[in-house]
Formats: sequence, structure tokens, C-alpha cells
Amino acid sequence: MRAHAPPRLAVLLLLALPASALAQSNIRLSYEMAVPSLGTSDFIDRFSSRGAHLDASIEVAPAFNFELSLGWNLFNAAKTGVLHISDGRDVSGKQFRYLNAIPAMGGFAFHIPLRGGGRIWFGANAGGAIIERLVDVGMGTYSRTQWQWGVMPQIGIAFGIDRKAGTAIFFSGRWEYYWEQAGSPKQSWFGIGVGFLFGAGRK
Amino acid sequence: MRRLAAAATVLLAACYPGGAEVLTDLDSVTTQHDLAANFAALRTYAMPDVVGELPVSTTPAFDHSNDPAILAKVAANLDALGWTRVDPSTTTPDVSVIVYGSLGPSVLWIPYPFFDAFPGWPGFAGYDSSWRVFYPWARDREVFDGGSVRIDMLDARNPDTAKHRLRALWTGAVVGLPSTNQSNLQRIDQGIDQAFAQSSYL
Repeated sequence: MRAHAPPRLAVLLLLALPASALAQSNIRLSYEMAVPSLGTSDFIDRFSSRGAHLDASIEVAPAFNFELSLGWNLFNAAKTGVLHISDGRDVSGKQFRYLNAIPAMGGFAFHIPLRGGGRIWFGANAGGAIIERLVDVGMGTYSRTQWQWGVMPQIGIAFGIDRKAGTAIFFSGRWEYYWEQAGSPKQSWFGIGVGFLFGAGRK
Repeated sequence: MRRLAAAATVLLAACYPGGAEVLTDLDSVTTQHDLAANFAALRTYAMPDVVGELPVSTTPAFDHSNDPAILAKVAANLDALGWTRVDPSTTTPDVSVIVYGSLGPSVLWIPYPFFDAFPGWPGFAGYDSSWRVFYPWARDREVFDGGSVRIDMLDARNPDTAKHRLRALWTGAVVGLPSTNQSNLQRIDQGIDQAFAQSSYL
């Protein structure tokens, strides 16, 4: 029974929060670029310009927010060389490599208000991602999809553009790291986001 | 709603950007070998003077005008690796090397019959149409999405007389979309070189 205490406590805390305390909650929608790092750069070493993130940030205490994050990142590159498919089986040819990741995470962040409806935040999320590694060689396709656990520290800064509506433009940076899982190698990348924040500074 | 549909279409297309742009981008070479085989102990080979048709014939028919050039390329690669070609009518080789071709997509079911593709070749004296080639890596079929030239290295010293089977020790497949005869030959030659280049254990 004791194992259920922390979730119950969290729910009670959320319910006990007055509406004003949730005033700094916000939704963020961003376009994401990414630079591959450890693990991912061995597979694809090319800058990614395709991605998106949706973040929900709920203030649970002054300047302290519970974060939920859902995203999509795509990396792709063309390579030549030999691909080891299995023991004794090799395929060569022009390889078109793709890595699709759909991260889903939760965590906490500190949000520091700025003048004019802006803010700075930093924190860390944990969770995982569905990661698909796919290689097209010749007319064949080889792919592997795996859920991988990971963490995502993040920082961001927002500048208010419509204080009344609570809208801001923001820039964010994340480092996403996913542990090796069931034979799928570790993955990581630095994400750079630019997008809109809705709900900032609303009173 | 139209804008939403258009955005969704663009997003889905973005999942797999890039891809093949020219015909040769679709060329590939696949090799597979028997992990239990000791290639260092094998040094002699015999090879028929024709490129056989894959047991599943497809249309259009394979153009055999390139057979001598294809077989010469295979022999040159084996010779460069230190193998010695022997006449199977006088000497039993360590391995038989057979080359198959198909101009279109095909499926090769394993074990596959080989005898009728090389009629009268002395290397297969003593066998008949009931004999098959099997792959110890336990695949039940090989699928070729395009035209292919396939090289199989068979263990000539240990035929399975009970099951009427010859064991494949190594196989190389050059696969691509057919083009002009000259272009095909050039790409096949490159593919054969690559098959041996990525099989350093030979």
C-alpha cells in the first residue's frame, strides 16, 4: 500500500493548488532541429532539420512546473559501405539511413518570469522514445524499432509577444539521451527548438 | 481542413526524405557464407562455362551474350585470391562455383535444383535432376527484387548422397534494375568485384 503514496500525494497536491497558482502553466509548440551526438552520430552524422515538439508545462508550485513532452525527430543520411545484417551476411550498396524518434517524457522544470511576459526555464525530463532505425540498400529495407528509456535535460527562454493573450516566442535547447535497449544501441542528440508558447503571464 | 490534410501529407513525406535518384543507387551486393566453413583449406575450384538461368524463370529472358565476360570476372577474382581452377573431368575440385542470372525479379526457393541448368558439365557427373543446393544458414528462400547475377560456391568434396544435396559454402548476389546491355555488364562487373572485396575470408 505504501507504494501508492507518492502518486496519491501528487494528485492531492495538484487538486489543492489554487487556480492562481496554475497561472504560469503553458503549452509550447516548437519546430526542432538536432545535431547527432554519442551513438546516433555513428549511424547518422548529419544535422537534422526535421522535428517538432509539443510540451505542456503545469505549475505545481511557484516557479516549479511539471512538464510533459511529446516530440518527433528525424535524421537521415546517405552512406556507402558494407552493412552487416547478421552473422555471415553482408550487404553493400548506397545506403539511405533514417532514424525516426518519437520521445514521450515527463519531468520538472524551474520557470523564472521575465518582464513583458517572458521567462527562462531549465529542468530535466525522463521517459523514453520509440526509435526506428531504417536502412534502404538497393531494393531492400532493413529496420529495427525499439522503445528506449532516456533522459532529456532542457533549457529555454521565451520573449512575450502578446502579454494579454499570454503568447510568447521561445528558443530552447535539449540534450536527449537514450540507453541501449535489447540490442538497439544508445542514441543521443542536441535539439534546438524555436516555437510559440501559449499561456504565459495569464492572470 | 484542406490545409490540415496538406500539412499531414507533407509531414508524412518528410519521414523518409532523400532516397534513390539514379538507377545505380538501387544496385546492391549481398554475400553470405557458412560460418562453419574453413575456407583456408579450400583452394581449387571448377566452374561451368555458362551462366545458368535461375530455376524460376522470368521474362524477359536473360541475355547470355555477356556470359564469357561475367565468368571471366568471377574467375579473375578467385585467381587473385589464390584459388586454382581445375578441370573437373580430370581433377575433383574443393568447390564447384556456379553462376546464375535473371533479368527480372525472382524468388529462389531453397534447396533449389541445379543440375538441369548446366547440362553435360563434367563437374556434376554422378548427379541428376533430383539433387539440390541447400544453404546451411537456413533461409528457405531468397527474394530478388530486380535482375540478379548470383555466384554460389558449393562443397564438391562432401555431397550428401542420402538427401541428394550439395552444401553452399558461400554465395554472392549482385542485384539491380536492368538497363542497357553494356550498362548491365559494367554494373555486374563492379558488383562481382564488390562481392569478393567484402568476403575477405575467401
